Amino acid sequence: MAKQTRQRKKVCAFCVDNIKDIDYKEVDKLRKFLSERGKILPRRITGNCAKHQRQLTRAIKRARIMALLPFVVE
Amino acid sequence: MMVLFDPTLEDETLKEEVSKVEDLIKREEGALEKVDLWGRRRLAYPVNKKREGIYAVFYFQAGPERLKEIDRVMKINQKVMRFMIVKRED
Repeated sequence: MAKQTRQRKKVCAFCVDNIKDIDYKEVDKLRKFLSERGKILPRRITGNCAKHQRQLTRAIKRARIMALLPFVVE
Repeated sequence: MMVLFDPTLEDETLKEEVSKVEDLIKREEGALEKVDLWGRRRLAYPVNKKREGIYAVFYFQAGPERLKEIDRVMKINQKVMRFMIVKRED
């Protein structure tokens, strides 16, 4: 038997807010997509669409270079 | 371009450094649109053994050759701990 859907399907947070380009300067927004260890959460958890997940990854990496976000949280 | 200045800068010298960057952009025939001074901020990790830094964002337009020169001069500046030139999507 097929597994019952335990959770409603998530939709991309950025599509919902109608955001076209993800800005690396909006640190508070980006922070929501990091784990406690500072890792970028995978799409299967965030439910982001492929396009926005790619943008998000890039934005987070930029923010990390500028020390706005951590590379690792000890 | 986002610039991370040394946190030991006083207000006075910071102003000087910011206008130095502005002058650099203008000298390189860049169209400076906006300067956003974020001010002092805690860093997510230490840079040059410092736990905080002063952030400033410069919005401008400049051609590729000019950017190279801007990049070169910014690298020389000791007061700049880190900087990044990013193409805007809009």
